[in-house]
Amino acid sequence: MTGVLPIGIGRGVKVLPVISKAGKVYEGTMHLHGEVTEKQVLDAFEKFTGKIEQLPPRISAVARKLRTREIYWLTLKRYDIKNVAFEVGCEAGTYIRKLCHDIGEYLKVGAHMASLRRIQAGPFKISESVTLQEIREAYEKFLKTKRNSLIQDIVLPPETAVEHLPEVYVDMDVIARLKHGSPVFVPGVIAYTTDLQRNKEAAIFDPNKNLIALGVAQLSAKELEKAQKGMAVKTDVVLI
Amino acid sequence: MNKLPFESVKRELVYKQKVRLGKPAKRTAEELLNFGIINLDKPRGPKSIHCGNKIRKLLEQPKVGHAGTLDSF
Repeated sequence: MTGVLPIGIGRGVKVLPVISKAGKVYEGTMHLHGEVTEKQVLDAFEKFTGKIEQLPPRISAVARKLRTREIYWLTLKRYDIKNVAFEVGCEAGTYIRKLCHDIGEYLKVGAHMASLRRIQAGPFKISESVTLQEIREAYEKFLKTKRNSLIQDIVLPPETAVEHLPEVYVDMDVIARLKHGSPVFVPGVIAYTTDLQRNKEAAIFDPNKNLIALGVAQLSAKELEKAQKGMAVKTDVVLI
Repeated sequence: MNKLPFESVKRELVYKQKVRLGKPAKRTAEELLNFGIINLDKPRGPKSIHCGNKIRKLLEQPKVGHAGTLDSF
C-alpha cells in the first residue's frame, strides 16, 4: 500500500491521533473472482455507500466485533469485467480490504483488493505530499546551506494537521494555566468557529493563531455564543 | 467533486472578545524539525513504521511517529 502517511516530528507526534481519527480517501483496485456486469458493480457500490457494518480482520489492533463505519462515497473509476478501479471516501477505521471482500460476497462471485493508494488523510492530500527522496535531498542541502526554506518546503507546521477541526482561540492569560492541563473556561475564549460541537475534538490556539493544545469541546458553538461562564473546552493534549 | 464531511462544512469565526487575532510567524527550520508534520507519500516496500524510522535517522530527530498505518494484513 502506498500514499499519504502523515509523519510527526518531535512534538508533532502529539497531533497524530487527530489525523488517525479523520476521514480518508483511497484509490484502489478490486479483482473479482467471477464475471459481473458494470451495472451489477454500480449496484453493489450503491449498496455499500452510507453506513456499513464491518468485522475487523483477524490480525488487527481492535476487538473482533461488528462495527459501523460510514462510506461517504464509492465511485467506479474503471470497469474491466473482472478488474474494477474505484475511489472511496470513508470514515477513519474503515477496512478497505474487508470492503472489497464483502462486495465480492454481495456480488456472489467473491473478490479481493488488488491494490490500494491513500490519496487523502484528514487535511493531507497526495498532491501536496513529499517522497523520502525529496526529504533526503532537502535535508542534505539544508545541512550545507542552512536555508530555512528547504525545510519549510518539506516539514509542515503543526497547524496544518488540525485544519479539519473546529477552532477555539484563547487569550494570553489562559495559556499559562493551560500548560498545566487546566481547561478553557468561557471568559478565556476570544473567538471560535461555528462548527464547534459538544463532546467533539477542538483545536486550541493562542491569539497569534499558534496551535497550543487539543481538547474536547464542552459546548456547541450556539451554546458558547450565549454562555458567560463555565467550561468551554476540556484540555486533552498540551503542545507547548 | 467528492468531499470529506469537514470539507463541506461552511464555518465562520465568531468573536466573544474584541481582541485582534494575529498570524503565526513562519516557522524556522529548527522549529519545524522540533514540532512539525511531514505529508509523506509512502512508497511500496517499506512498512509504515520503517518509513518513520528512516525519517528519524534522516532528520536526526529522536522523536518521529506516523498516523494510520498503510501496511497490509
